[in-house]
Amino acid sequence: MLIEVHDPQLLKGVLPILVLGLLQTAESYGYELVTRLRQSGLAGISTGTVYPVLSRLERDGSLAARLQPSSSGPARKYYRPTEAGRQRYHSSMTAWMQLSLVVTTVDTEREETR
Amino acid sequence: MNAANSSITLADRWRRWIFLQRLEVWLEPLGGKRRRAVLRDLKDSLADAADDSDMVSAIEDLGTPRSLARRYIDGEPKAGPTWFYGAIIASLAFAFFLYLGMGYSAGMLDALDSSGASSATGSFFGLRLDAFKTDSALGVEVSDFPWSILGFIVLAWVLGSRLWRLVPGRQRQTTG
Repeated sequence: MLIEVHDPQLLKGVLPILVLGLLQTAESYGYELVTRLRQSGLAGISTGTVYPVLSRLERDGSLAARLQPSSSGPARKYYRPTEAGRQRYHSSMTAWMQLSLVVTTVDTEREETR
Repeated sequence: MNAANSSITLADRWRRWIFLQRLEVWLEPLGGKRRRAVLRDLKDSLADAADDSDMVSAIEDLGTPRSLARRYIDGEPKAGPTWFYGAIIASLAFAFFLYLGMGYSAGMLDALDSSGASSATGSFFGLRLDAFKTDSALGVEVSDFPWSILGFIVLAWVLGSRLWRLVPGRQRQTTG
């Protein structure tokens, strides 16, 4: 399923969760992570949206980075979640689930009263 | 999707350099160390993205330098003073007064020349200007300290640098 998120505020809240979630599956460098997000369904996500989030998560200590030499270019910076990042992911997911449940409940009530 | 930074054409290097230079201006509030780290990461990431498509598309995908910088700065817990802007605005203020002062001095000398007088005294924002004319020399002597001009330049520097950001307890809201 490919979706376009047109509300930047909505994306701003969700993107750190998605980044932390994907990087728990496998570490990635910046551009690779963008392509993984696109393949996961965020078709229109831009590099200019993802890179600042990566930078912020690293600064906050949620991500750790290591440089891996590349034979064809400069060393790449691979990101992976730290323990604090994993905890942040779980607490954010819990909050997201609860919020999602409320949204679903309200929408179900709306459907029933139609 | 392997980045081949060494295979980037000269034109693409130029495009990337221009973009990063423009971005650096807008990233000024981040502070030197963090700004350099962001620019270094972006430089390498652009090489990766360009290898997958092309440099023009890779740069376009980042958005305008200003909007991209805003995304980086929005997440900072506290934006620091903008020393770079402060220095530029203070320099412009200094150049402005220098220009006015030179115009004022030129006016005095012109008046001396046309009136036939040998000397004249004037005041320019607290500066005492003594214009003189002899058979062999024509000039203006400056005396007194220009406190008012210095105050204006300092004010320009404070406003340009957003120096109030150094006040403790001032905290930006973090997002993401």
